[in-house]
Amino acid sequence: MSDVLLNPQDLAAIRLTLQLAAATTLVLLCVALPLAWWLASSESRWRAPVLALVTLPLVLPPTVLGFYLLVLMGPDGPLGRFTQSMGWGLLSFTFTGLLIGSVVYSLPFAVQPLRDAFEASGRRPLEVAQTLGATPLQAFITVALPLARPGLLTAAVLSFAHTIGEFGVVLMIGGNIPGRTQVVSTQIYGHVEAMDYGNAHLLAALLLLFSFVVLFGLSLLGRRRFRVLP
Amino acid sequence: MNGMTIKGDSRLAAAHALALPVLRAEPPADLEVALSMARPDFCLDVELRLPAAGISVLFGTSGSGKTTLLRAIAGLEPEARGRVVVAGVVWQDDPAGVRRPVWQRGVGYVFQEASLFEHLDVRGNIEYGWRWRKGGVADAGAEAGRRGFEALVEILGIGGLMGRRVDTLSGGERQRVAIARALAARPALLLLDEPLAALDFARRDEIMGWLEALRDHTGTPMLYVTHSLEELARLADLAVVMQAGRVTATGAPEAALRAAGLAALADRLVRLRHA
Repeated sequence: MSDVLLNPQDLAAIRLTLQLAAATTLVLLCVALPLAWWLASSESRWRAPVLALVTLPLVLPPTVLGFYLLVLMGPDGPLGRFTQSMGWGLLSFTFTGLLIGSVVYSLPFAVQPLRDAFEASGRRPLEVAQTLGATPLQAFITVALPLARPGLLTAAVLSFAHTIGEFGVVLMIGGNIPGRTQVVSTQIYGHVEAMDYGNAHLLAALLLLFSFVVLFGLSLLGRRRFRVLP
Repeated sequence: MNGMTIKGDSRLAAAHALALPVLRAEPPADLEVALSMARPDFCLDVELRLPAAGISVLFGTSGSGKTTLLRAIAGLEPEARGRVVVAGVVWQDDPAGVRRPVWQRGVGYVFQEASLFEHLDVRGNIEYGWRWRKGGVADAGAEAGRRGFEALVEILGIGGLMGRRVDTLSGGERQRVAIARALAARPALLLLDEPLAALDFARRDEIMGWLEALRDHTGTPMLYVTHSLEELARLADLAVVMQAGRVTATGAPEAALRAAGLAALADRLVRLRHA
């Protein structure tokens, strides 16, 4: 059925989009967990600037973010020089480049729900766990993490959905190369540019439906804790 | 209330016969505390020697440093400096560079709010208490561990609550579970920070009954923070009066209040006892 409706290039774009979103979500959770924990519990003077930095992708135009990342990864950028010196080549216009861009772009969507969850349960449960003989790491794993489960779920779903919906960053970094960096959102743009409204409609409707289902499901799952925006 | 006490006592008789050796703490030795710490509103500066048995009540108005002292003894105040020796074990001795972290102190801590783990049921909460610590109830061998657990459950009357979610418990039940959880790790010292403050009158009376039972049947020394004269009158074997971060008197409750210049409170304490 879908073979008839979707051409191979659209299918490839959908597959790549899902791969990118899944990888981004995984990486983001690994990065955001310690970061959110630090933001929720630290009294360091670096907390405020780091928080602002983490929130930046929320307000910056994706093209600005994409532009800086492109420069950073480019042949003369610090990251680009590093990857070249390691013999990895350049990250721009590759899946890894897209992944880095997506992680940065969706960072606030992962950090914020986790930080909220950690702050909501506060320090007390961890103090209790430590008086009961758990080391801070054991207390974090057996108490702080399970208590933050709703936040964890929200962070994962929002990261995934937000990555599926990004456009500006992937266009700047990825360049819309079919099969390599062409995702659904950029493919829609391509269809519209080519006046191919039929295929644009199809992909756009898919994204619309997907986003609605995700947000609806999330609100059902975590009725009380759910917040879209930080 | 009387009915509650009698019922509690018959359960206790069973628990007593069953598991006294399991719950009985190490042979009594003194608690030695010498701690100081600067706070924005006051300076904590305390030197204390307490018998390592029975209930010692830290009594004072709010802001006198009682909670800070308790937290410092547990190791929850990194800024506190000094010496803490419990049952012959040095928990902290800053001049000698010794400082056990909280999780190696063998302390039980009951907070003002029960602070139960909401993601675990009642059994899970209590089991958490012996999960980590060597020498906890489970460490005394499986059979002895089970008996110790049963004795605790019996003494605190929480047998019927084991499978319950903690958010379905009443305030008094929550606090009893918190006390059981703290004791399950077989602490050398049980610290209680105004454990009754969030409870209504009837529940307070009930919990005090359970605490008296614990004092009589477990032998775990307790350091109990309160600003309630009623709790001082009923529970204290020894009173430690605190004012503005310092200990102003230590001794039998009435005598300690008089020595601290709180004659009016001492008179009310006597009246409470005779009431």
